[in-house]
Amino acid sequence: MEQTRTNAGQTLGIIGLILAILSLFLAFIPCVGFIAIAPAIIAIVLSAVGLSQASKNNGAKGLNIGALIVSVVSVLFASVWLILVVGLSTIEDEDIEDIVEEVIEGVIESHPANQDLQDALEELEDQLDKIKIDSIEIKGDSIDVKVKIEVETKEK
Amino acid sequence: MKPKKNSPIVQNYRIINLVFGLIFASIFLYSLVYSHTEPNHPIPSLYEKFTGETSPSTGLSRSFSALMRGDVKSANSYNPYGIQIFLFFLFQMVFRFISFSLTKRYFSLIKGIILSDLTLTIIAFLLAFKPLIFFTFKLFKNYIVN
Repeated sequence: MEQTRTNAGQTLGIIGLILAILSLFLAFIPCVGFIAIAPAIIAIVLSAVGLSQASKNNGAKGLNIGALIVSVVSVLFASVWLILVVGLSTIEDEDIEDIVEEVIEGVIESHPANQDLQDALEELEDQLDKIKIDSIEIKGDSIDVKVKIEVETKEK
Repeated sequence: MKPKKNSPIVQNYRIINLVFGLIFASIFLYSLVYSHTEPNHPIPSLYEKFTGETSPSTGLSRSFSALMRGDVKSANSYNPYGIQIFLFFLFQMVFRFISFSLTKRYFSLIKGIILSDLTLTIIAFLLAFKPLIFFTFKLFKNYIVN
């Protein structure tokens, strides 16, 4: 005879899953990343209790297992932020600048607009190579300033 | 075994959709209440406070506030990733409320709906949060190496 599933542990599983997903979102936002550790730990506790209740009373375990996995992943990422923030706040400002600048450069390089910027820069450099400034003559007196620039291109 | 209309899986999925729909709606409400032109957002950049450096998520709240007022140009200047993350949250909010209202009608397809939802959400999350995820991994790697 088929046993019917009860609702044991489902409420805790739902709360655990919601907290776990929220902490995962937070864990990838650098500004607030390390805060995610608090809801993630609560999610682990809730889903573990929910899983235990579901096991004892023949409840569905999928929701609690899912919540447990997501919350453990969130705790791992939030811990990374916690270690980083605590670590970075203890080292010298110049060292922080070097580390962060290198990372930001990497992020900019991987940005889709970066290729367009590189192309525009190359085009500008090509144009500058073609232009040769022959002479700059500046005549001035107390009232007027006259600027004369002669430009000669290499293509002539 | 086919799921019933009032089976736990249908009920749980509906509750989760409703809660997330409300959470995303509250993010938009928060962005609407606080203006991007006045620096009065109550959630500070803790990363910046501790390290003194900016991060790819700096200006995200102001960017959201600007987008809520239709100021796309300012939003882009506050945070270049603000638009894609805003669109992800907007899509999620709409999708959560639609799922909440339609799940009861299409309860027989619930397993397929949940699977498609998970796949689409994970892909959209990775696309929208790509620069922030990349920053997290890279920073951690550089910090460990140095």
